[in-house]
Amino acid sequence: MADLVRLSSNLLYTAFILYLIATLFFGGSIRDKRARERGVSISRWSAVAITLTIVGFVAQLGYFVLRWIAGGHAPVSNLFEFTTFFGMMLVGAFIMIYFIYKLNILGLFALPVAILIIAFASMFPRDISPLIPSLRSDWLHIHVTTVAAGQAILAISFAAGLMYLLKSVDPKVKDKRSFWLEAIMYSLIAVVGFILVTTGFALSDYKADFNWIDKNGNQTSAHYTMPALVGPHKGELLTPDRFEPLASMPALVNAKKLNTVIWTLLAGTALYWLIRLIFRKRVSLLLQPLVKKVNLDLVDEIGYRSVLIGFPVFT
Amino acid sequence: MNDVKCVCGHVNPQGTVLCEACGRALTEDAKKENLHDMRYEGSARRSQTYNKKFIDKVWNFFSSVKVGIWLIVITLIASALGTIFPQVMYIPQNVDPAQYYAEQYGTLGKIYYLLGFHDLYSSWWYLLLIASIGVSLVICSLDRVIPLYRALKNQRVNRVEGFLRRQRLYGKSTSETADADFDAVKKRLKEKKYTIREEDGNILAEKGRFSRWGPYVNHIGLIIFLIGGMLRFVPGMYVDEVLWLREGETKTIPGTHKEYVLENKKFTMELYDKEKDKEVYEKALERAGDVVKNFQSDVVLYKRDTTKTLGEDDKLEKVKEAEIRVNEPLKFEDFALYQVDYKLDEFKAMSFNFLKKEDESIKGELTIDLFDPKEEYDLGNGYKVELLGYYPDFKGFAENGEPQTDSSVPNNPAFLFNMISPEHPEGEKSFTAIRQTIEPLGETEYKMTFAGIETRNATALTVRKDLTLWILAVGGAIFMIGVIQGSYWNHRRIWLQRRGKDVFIAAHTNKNWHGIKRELAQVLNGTSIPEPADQQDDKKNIRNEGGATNGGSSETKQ
Ligand code: HEM
Repeated sequence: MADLVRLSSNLLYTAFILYLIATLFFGGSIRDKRARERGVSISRWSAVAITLTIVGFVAQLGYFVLRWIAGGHAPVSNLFEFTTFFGMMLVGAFIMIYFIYKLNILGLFALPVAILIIAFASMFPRDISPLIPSLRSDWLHIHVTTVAAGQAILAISFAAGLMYLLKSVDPKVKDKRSFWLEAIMYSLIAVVGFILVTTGFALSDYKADFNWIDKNGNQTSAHYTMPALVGPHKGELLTPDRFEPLASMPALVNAKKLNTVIWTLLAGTALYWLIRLIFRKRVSLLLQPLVKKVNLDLVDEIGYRSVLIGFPVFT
Repeated sequence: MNDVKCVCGHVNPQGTVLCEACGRALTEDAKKENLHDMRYEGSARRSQTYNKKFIDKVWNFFSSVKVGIWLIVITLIASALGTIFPQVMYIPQNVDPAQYYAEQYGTLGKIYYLLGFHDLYSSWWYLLLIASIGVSLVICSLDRVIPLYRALKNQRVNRVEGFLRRQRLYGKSTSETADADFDAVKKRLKEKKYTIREEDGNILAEKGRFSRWGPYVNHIGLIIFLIGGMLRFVPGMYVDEVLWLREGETKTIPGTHKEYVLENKKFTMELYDKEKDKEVYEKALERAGDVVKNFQSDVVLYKRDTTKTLGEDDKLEKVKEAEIRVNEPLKFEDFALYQVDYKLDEFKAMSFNFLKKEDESIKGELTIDLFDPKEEYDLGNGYKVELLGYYPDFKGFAENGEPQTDSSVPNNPAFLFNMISPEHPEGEKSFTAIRQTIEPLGETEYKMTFAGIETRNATALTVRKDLTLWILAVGGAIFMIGVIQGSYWNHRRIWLQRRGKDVFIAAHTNKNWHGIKRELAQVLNGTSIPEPADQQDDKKNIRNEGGATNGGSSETKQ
C-alpha cells in the first residue's frame, strides 16, 4: 500500500512537470510564423504541446486511480485532493475544447492556471485521510466530482471571455472599459499574490497562537499561519518571537480572515506595481500581443460552448 | 377592428411592426431602421400596444424584463440581509425572539426583528416578492411567446426587399446561372437538415425553430419549482424539526401529530483507530488526532394508538428497532430521522457521602437524580438530608446572595443541603457545588462529599418530511430541458430570392452568428452567389488573416 501511495505521488509530480513543459511549447506555437504562413492550424510546436498535455493528464489520472485504490475512497475528500482534482479537470476540459477548436492560445491561459492550482493544492496536508461520517456516502463520488468537472469546464469559458475582452477593449483608450479590464488583471494578480504569501508562510512553517475574547466574553484561541497584521479582540500572543499585531479588531470581526485578505492585497499590489515598473505599461496592454491573432467570433463561440457543456455537468 | 392590413393583403394584429407574412415595415420607425430588431419578429406585443386600462398598466409593469430583474435583485439583497443575524430557528428555544434580538444585537436587532428578517422565508413581504417574481415570469413570457408564435406560423417565403436588406446578413448580386445555383444550394441545405419552403422560385430554409420555445419551457419549469417551494408552507407538506433524546429517554416525535414515539437506547461516537483501521491513514491520524468514524443512535420506534386519550403511554406499539447513522436515516411513512448532533457524557445522577468531619466516618450515602431530585433523602439512624435548593446550571451568586442557574440542563449542578443528624435535629446548612463547598451559616460538624457521578449521552435527530421534493424534481427537469432546448440548438433562417437576374440572400439566427456564417460558406461554396456580408460587424474586430489561431473558417471577408 505504501508503494502505491508513493507511486501515486510521483505520477502527480510527473504530470505537474509535463504541464509546465507543455505550456512552454504552447507559447512557442503562437510565435511560430512558418506554420501560419503555410496555413496549417496544428504546427509541430503545438502537436508536441498537446501531446505533452495529454501524457500529463494520463499521468495525473494514474495518480487519481492509484490513490483511490490505496485509500479505499475517491480521492476528493479533503482540500488537497479536491484542488488537484479540479486542476486535472481543468486540463481535461482544455483538451476537449482544444480538439474542437484547435486554439493554441487557450493552452497558454488554461495550463498555467492548472499548474498554479496544483501547486497551491500541495500546500495542504497530503496524507490520505479517513472519511468523516458526513462524507461516507455515494454522494461524495457524485457531488464532488461533478462539481469539480463542471467548474473546470466553466473555467475554460472564463479564459475565453478574458481573451475576448483583451482583444476587444483597447487599453490605450483611457475609458471605463479599459479601466475595468485592468481591474480584472489586478484581481488575477492578487490571486497569484494570495498563493505566493500562503505558500511562502506555509513553507517557512510560520505559526502564531493567540488567546482572545469573543463576542460573548469567552476566551478562545486562534491559530495564525501568517504574521498577524491585525490581531483578534483583546488578543494575547502566546508563541514567543512572533510578530505583534499592529492593530486589534473588535470581537465581531474575524481577524484571522481579515489578516489573510490584507496580506493578499498587499502582495497583489506589490506584484502588480512590480510588473508595471518593469514593463512600463498596463498589464492588459502587456498581454494584448498574445491575442492579436484571435478571432472574436471564435472565442465568443468557445466561451458559449464551454458554458453549454459545463452547465449540465455542474447542475 | 384596429387590425393593420398590409399591402400584401395579410391582416396583422394592432401594434405589429413587421408584417407577419411579407416582412414589410408597418411603422414609420421601422422604415427608418438600418437593421430590423428581429428578437420578437416585429410582432405585436400586448404590452407595447395597450396602455389605457388599469389592467393594461399592471400587465405592462410585469411584462418588463427590467422589472423582473429588479425583483430578483431585491429578493437577493433581502436574502443576503437575512444572513446577518441568525434566523429564529437558530436562537435559543426558551427565549422571546423580540427580546432576544434587541438584547443581543441592539437597535439593529430590533429593526431586524420588526421587519421580519428573523424569519425571512415566512415573512409576508418576502413571500410577496417571490410571488411577484412568479407573476413577472408568467406575464413576461406570455407577452412574448404568443405573438412570436403567430409571427413564425404566418411567415411567408416571399419577403419584400426592404426586409431582406435590413437583416444582419445580407447580400445582393446578379447571376446568369441562378437556376443551377439555387438547385445546388437547396440540395446542400437539405443535407444540413434545413426545412425548405418554396414560392415562385424563392426559397426559405429554416431549422431549429423549436429552440425558440426553450426559454418558455424553462420558465414553466421555474414556475413549477416556485410552486413546489411555496408548498412547503402548506401544513402537512413539509416538516423540519429537531428531536433531542437522552439515552433511555422516550419522546413523541415532533411533526407526526403525536402518532410516533421514539426511544433512544444508546448513542455511540466511534473514532478511527490507528491500530485497527487501514494503515495508510496512520499519518493523517497522527497529524489530526481524533477523527470520528461513526455517529450512531440505536433507537426503537413506537406507534401510538391515537384513538386513546393521551397519557396512556402503555398503549405504545413497537414498530421497529433501528440504527441511525449519518447518511443512513430511519425512514417510516413519509418521515426520515437523520443523525444531526450529539452530546457526550451529560450528567445524569450525582452521589454524595454524609460525612462527619472529625473522624471522616461515613454516616450514609445518597444519589440524586439530576432530572428528578427528591425533597429529602432519609439515610436512617436519625440521619437525613433535605434538599433546600437545586441549581442545575449554577453560574454564581446574585447580588442578594441568591445562587443563579442558567438553564435547567445539569451542566454544573449545585445544591443547598440541610444536613440533619442526631446532634443537629434542626439541621446544618451547606452549599455544595462541583469543587466548592460553602457553609453560609457558619462552620458545620458534618459535610457532604462528592462520591461519584453517572453520565449518559444524548443524540439529536432531524425529523424531516418533504412531500414537495418530487415537484421540485419535475420543475427542475423541465427547466433543464428548456435550457438545453434553447441553448443547444439555434433557430436559423436563410432567404434566397430572385427578381430577374438579381439574387438576394439574407440570413438570420437567434444566436451563434459564427456558426451560421460557417454554414453559409459551405452551402454557397462554388456557386455564383457570394456569401452575405455581416452588416453589424464590430469595427473593433480586426479580421483575421487566417492562420494557426483560427479554426480555418472565417476567411470570408476582408
Ligand atoms: C462549487 C462547488 C460546490 C457547490 C456549488 C456545492 C453545493 C452544495 C449544496 C447546494 C449542498 C447542499 C447544502 C444543504 O442544503 O445542506 C452541498 C452539500 C454538501 N457538499 Fe457541496 N458543493 C460544492 C463543493 C463541495 C466540495 C468540494 C465538497 C467536499 C469535498 C462538498 C461536500 C459537501 C458535503 C459533505 C455536503 C453535505 C453537507 C451536509 O449537509 O452534511 N461540496 N453542496
